Amino acid sequence: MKRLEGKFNSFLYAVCALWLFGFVALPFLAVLAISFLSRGYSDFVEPVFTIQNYLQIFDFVYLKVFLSSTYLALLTSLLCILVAYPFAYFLARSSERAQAIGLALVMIPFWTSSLIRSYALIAILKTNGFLNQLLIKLGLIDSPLSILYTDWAVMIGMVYTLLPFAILPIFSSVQGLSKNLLEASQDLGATAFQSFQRVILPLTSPGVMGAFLLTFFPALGLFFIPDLLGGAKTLVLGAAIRDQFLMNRNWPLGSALSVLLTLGMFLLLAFNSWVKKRVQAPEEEGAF
Amino acid sequence: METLLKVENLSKSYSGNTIIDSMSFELPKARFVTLLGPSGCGKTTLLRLIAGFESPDQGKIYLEGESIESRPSQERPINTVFQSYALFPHLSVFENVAFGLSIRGEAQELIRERVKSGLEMVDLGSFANRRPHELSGGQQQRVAIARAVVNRPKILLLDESLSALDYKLRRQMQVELKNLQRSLGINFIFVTHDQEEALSMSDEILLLNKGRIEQKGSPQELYEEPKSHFVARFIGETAIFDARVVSQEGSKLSLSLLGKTIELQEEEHFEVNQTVQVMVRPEDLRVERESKDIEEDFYFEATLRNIVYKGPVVDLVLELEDSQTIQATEFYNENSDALEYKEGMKLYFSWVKGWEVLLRDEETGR
Repeated sequence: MKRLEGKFNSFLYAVCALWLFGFVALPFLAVLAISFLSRGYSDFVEPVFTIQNYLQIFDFVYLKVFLSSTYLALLTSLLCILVAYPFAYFLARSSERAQAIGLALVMIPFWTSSLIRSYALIAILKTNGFLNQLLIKLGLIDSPLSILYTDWAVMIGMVYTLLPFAILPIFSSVQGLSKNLLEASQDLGATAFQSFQRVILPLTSPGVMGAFLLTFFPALGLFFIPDLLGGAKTLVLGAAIRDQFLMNRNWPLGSALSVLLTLGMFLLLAFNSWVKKRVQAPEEEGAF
Repeated sequence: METLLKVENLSKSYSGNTIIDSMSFELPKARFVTLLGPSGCGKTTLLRLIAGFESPDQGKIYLEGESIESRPSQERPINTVFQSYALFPHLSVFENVAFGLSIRGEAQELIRERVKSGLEMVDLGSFANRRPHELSGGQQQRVAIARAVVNRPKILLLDESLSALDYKLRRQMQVELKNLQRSLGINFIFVTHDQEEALSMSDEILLLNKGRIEQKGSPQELYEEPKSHFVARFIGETAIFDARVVSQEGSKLSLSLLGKTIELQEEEHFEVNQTVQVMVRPEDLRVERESKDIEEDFYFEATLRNIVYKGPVVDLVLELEDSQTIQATEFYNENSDALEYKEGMKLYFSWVKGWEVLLRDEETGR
């Protein structure tokens, strides 16, 4: 039995390894290889080694794309976390029934493609859309605001699309927080705010970090939202990569940009696991 | 003696279940008090009500004459050592112990000094920079105690704080806690379900059952003069005999017990024909192989069913005529008869008159 189990486990590991190799490592290696090759006009790439693509990235245009894209992504992440934290906190502290309902409501939008939901947002945000009509009816504004095709619309779309990815990690980190620790903090004289500042926030910071990573990277690459809601006025990194592959047919440059993005993600993930190690004690997980 | 904590008509129920049932008691200053009882008796809820983590449905809690039941936990001069220790995993040992003082905004100098002496008090002076997860269970326990004590609370609450430790460490911590309570001179209220722990540490025991106080008193009082079956059974082993009152003349009480009539000295009045229970501790039973060796003027027969050797003492499990089994404890020395006892043997037992406890019949649930 034991031996059979051992064999079965090795088999599972092998399947996992093969899957990861085939669908993660291999494509990345291909992209990495292409990023060091020259642009070809008949076959997309010419097998001539060059670092020209990487030098080209430091061109002013791409630096600007990189900066504006990072700025947009940072702002999106920040807003997502600010909106998600209170919601996730109170959801994790409410009854099991309320949690089930709340989580279902968070997940339901996933059943619809985010592209379609972005079109729905257009209907809401446009000049005589639902939002403006509502605001006028409420008497808050006299004439409709122009929200669609501004940075506001992009931000609303980004935060709306990525919010669940901020809620879930924060929710699970608050859930893992022992009630005992809050009582201990209170017992030692801390007010609700002091407990939040000194105990809750530091201990849920891995969740906040997770929320940041899960919203920041997609925000760098979500090109259809700036296109649809922002009127394609802002070029994000994801859009720049897409353009290189599909419009300029410059696969090597697109690959180099992809490698850069992946490298950035990797560094942030490494930083995240370093922070986690400092904050979380290995035994604490579910020890109470 | 000066009263520190006074509880009046305290009640608490959860969704219709009464956990604390209009409980009243007073505790004097500087005592080691144990809340003892089986699980579900309300001891932890009582502790949480005193700490301020729960608010009572009705009743009052006074600390030095001041009513505190409506004050939030952070405004009560009471600190808790949690069962799971509840040390902050993201803080060092030093920061954990300093937590309460730093919340109160004490000066850095004072915090350093008090934390240092607090950690030295629990023998962890050199562990200040460690993280809680780097410590053993016993060490975490001490940090939790230091963290509570540095705030100089009027009462220190300990919620089954030793139950997670192994036997040897638990015994050691029992002695240390008792010494600590003496040297600090503050009240410790210690929750446990372990009667041995309660007996060895407490100045006073509150034995709880179903949300009520069964008996409050010193360990000796609870052991030697249990006021109910529950107390007698919960604390230590007890042999309980059903008996019927034959007659009572002055302080002479005749009882019919296991088919014999015995005479006891008893000040309390009983009705003739009333059924009563006679309780005798195992170590108060005298067992002999021959009935002529019994020094008292009464004895009973029993069959020896089991011999449990326990080092200095031996426990004899005796089966009575009515097939009830009782336990008798004998000191084990080289001259002891116990050496020659064999299972299945007929033995004779009695007890020193006056060492028994008489209880009026009640629902025993037996």
